[in-house]
Amino acid sequence: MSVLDEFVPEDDESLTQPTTYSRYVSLVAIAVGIVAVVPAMTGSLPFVTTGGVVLAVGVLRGDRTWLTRGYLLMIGGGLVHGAIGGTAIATVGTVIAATVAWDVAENGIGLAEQVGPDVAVGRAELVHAAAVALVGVLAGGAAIAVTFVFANNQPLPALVMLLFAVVILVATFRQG
Amino acid sequence: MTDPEPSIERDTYRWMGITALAFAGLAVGVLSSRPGPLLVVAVGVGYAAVARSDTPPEVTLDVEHDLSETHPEPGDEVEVELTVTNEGPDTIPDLRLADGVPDALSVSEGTPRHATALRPGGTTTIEYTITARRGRHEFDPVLAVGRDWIGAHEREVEVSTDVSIDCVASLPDSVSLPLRGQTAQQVGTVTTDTGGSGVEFHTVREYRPGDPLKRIDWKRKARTGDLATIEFREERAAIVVFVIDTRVEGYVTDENDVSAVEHSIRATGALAQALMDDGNRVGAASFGPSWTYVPPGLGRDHEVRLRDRLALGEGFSPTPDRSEFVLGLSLRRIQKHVPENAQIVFCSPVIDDVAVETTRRLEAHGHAVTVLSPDVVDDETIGSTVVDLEREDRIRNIRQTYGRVVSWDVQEPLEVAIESARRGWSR
Repeated sequence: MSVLDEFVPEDDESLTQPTTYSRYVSLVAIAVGIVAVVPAMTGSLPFVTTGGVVLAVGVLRGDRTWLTRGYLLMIGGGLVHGAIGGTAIATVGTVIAATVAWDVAENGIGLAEQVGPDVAVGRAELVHAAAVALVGVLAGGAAIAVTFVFANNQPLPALVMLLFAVVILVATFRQG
Repeated sequence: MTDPEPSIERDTYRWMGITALAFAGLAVGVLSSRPGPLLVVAVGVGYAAVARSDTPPEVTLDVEHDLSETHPEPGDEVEVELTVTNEGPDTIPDLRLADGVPDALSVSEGTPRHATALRPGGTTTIEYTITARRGRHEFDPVLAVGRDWIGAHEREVEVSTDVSIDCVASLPDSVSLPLRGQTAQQVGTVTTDTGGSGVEFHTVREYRPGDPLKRIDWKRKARTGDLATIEFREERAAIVVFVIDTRVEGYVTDENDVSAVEHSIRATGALAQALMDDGNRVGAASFGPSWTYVPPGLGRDHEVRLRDRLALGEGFSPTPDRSEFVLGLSLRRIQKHVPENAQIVFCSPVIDDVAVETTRRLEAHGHAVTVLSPDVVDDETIGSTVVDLEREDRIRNIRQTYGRVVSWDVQEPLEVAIESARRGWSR
């Protein structure tokens, strides 16, 4: 039994801790998300930190409700960070890290529930975690790259409209 | 090898709310006129687009079981190795597997479940150990669920196998059961109420020409001068059919999770052995939705047949058949197949009135019935105490109305229960 296992309350059988690698990947992602906003020391730090702690408790307890609450707090903190002057990279980094932390932990809980918490499923966990992180990094990285290349020449409203158009496009896809 | 079944494709709804992230970024970005939140839109859109466009992988698997033993004895440990190969064209980033361990068998070591990522042609292995129990156990299909890269969709398939375990126990040490007087014509060891040659004194009757000299009562001849012939109780062989209560109610279990059916089958094996050793013909029948019947017989071949059918017969399955049970139909089957002059040993936990009614109707059909009732109900809870009291009431009822009952506390040897019951029996 690892130290982390002790966080699971013995009297609550409805909770299942995520599988091993998912726990560790998720906790590392939370740490990355918090560290990303620390240098700026903006007012967003308490939000992000609180969100990270709640998310970590959700990871350690295997509690999806806490996971979601922590994730929303971290995302909110990340957006506040961006809104009050934090760097775009830190904002995007925190959001991606929070998303990876939430998703990997949630997936780990599902794995633990379906195949058992003690089964070695590292390959499935790590492939999933890598895929989720990659999607976030590619999407966020592409956006940051575009910003660096075009931001000085294009007005911000044009970028807003562009992104809004993409959102509408995706929403249409989903309905279709 | 494998037979692929139709697959079920579904959304996991794990990424359902991700578009909200994009809208939140958009709103905060517009209000604050800062680029950071706007770039978050791209992250949300990226995840939403992948979740939308990705499809669950083809899950085409070849599964192969390798069992250390396919004909174990009860209690033996059987090592199972399940090898799964991805025969499809796609990498399966998240493949979750559950082997179809037969319901009646328990996993003693390892787990029949696994999750991994498999490339095309890739192989994974699951190893675990099961404890064998009596009966034929066919493995259920292997359940496989393959998810796409970020877990937005999944495809579920069942892959059938034709692997089974046949677990046949040797007949246990023989235990004698005093039989009732109903017999066949063959000479045997059951003492009857019919006078003739034998060992136990029956009556003295008037001499008839042709009576053997050794049975003439010479003392009476010396005393009175009349010739008289001593009659002994004839000893004949019996036909005995064990009828085992395999209704769902027969599967009530003891504290060790062993069902009354299991106890009944073990007892049948032990008693049948002793009865056949004494020259009696023995058969067995299930009394439940499924029907298995072994006609009465004798000899080494019959012993093997009886042992195999008790272990593997569908009617004696280690798990209950939950299809509808019709009492009248089951009794008609017995009436049709069981010889009229056969005694019946009805093995039932007697936890409902159907067992009493069955005893009554078997007696009414002319069979001498002995009820062997494994007592598996504990009295640790109020509910089980009530069940136990009701059972004792039924046992008393059967004993007073129809005769012989062996109420067997399964924690004690069967011989003790029979000896205890025998003291209360008249012939």
